[in-house]
Amino acid sequence: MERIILKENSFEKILIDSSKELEITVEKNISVSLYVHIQKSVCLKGKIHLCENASLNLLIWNESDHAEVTAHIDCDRNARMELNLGELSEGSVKADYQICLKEEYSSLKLFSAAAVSTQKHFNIECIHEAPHTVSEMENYAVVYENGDFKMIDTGTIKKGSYQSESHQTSRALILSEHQKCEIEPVLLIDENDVQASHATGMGQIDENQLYYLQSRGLSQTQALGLITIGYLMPIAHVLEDEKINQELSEKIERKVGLS
Amino acid sequence: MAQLEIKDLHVSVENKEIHALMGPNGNGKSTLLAAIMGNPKYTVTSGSITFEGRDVLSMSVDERSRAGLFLGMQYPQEIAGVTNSDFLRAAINARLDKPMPLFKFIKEMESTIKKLQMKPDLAHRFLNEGFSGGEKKRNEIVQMSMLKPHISMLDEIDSGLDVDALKIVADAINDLQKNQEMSLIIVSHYARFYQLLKPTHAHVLVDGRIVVSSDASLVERIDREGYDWIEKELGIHIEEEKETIKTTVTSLGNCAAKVRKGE
Repeated sequence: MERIILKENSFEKILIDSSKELEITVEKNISVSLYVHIQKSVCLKGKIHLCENASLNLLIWNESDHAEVTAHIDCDRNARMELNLGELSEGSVKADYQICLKEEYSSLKLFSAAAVSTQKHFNIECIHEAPHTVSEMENYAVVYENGDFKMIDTGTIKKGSYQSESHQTSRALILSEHQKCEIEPVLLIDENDVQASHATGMGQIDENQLYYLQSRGLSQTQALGLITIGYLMPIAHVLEDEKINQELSEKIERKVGLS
Repeated sequence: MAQLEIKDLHVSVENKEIHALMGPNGNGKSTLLAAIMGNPKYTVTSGSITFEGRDVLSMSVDERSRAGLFLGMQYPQEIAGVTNSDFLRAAINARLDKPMPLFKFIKEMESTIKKLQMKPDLAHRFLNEGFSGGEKKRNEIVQMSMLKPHISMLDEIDSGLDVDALKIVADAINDLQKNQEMSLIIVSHYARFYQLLKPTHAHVLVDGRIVVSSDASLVERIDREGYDWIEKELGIHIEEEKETIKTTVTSLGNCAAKVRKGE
């Protein structure tokens, strides 16, 4: 088990190219941005602890051939967790994330963007264990030929977690008849004084939109690329690092055929 | 399924000419323009369309656009997630050997937006999403001005525009027509728009056929007398438009249930 303790406000990068167990602690009142780049074939087990009033903006950018990720995140009082998942690899993924908002005023903001041409299965659960806790989960996927996308998104509000909020949005754009796409939003609520919502949508490219873009001179590949890039590009800008943003933007443009 | 056939039709548009295409609703004006642009909903079974010596029918939609054809649409599409600037930059670069420098593009887009008196944030808004009818039509002219086509087909581009916007759009079209030597085929029901654009030719399309062609005086006569005289003088029966139910493609909307597809 590798242990990392973050004691100062900072921007950190971690490359993971072999299987490992990782434990990260963000100390009290500390604000950290963390870029985790996954390569090769890995099995990653992670444990993250955000102490009181800590904040972590984490981007996990997966470019592996195959990844199995299990992560558990605990948030103390007033801790702010931003979990961003960039899944543009050609490899398969099986990922389980569990985020526990353990103390009052802690929050989770989750954003995922996936380009799916193989099997990518995600199981993400946010558990509200204290009052005044807030979670927002947004998932976007573009599913290509032979893609197999599954997203189980669960918001659990435990009894006594009054005035908490759990919101989920998931969207999938399907580019082929030969694919599987499953989105399962779940809300498990055991408290009355809460706000919760979920929205799910999936659909194919609108032929009229495609024609409209082509009528302005864009090839079919470029037109499809422009429509799909709106799903994927926001993930490139979640960190405040211009070099990484530029690098990820270019990777996304290549992925959708725009460069 | 409703079918409309365009037949025995011959139109020749020379450089800088402005052709008004008129006719009662449902007689093939929009169908003709869409078929020229290559809308996959329409099939051309016989005949030919030639543009600057090239066989248009053998070209894909995007090739037609890059060759210099433009269709300002009656119902422009809304595309969420795609900004106007990303879209237009990609469309401009698609017709250049080397991409247009970003600074030059921004300057050109800003000046076009200003000319069409649209809101300065247009570049960063998603393509036509949440636009009013008038804004969508003006945005078509922004696109036309930036793409600089050789021939523009404008399909009821004036509908949804107020009097001031009509003038702004007409001025932009006239500028482009003069400076770029662009030709135009304009479908409109309103003499006011034609007065601003001053067509050199006018045609009336009935049941997929051009039944009368003339100069701008034809527009004035139709404005005064409607289409009844065509029935009386030319003995051509004009059928009233049948009511159709418009269907729209369902967007990626919201639903509250578990959703599966493809299993």
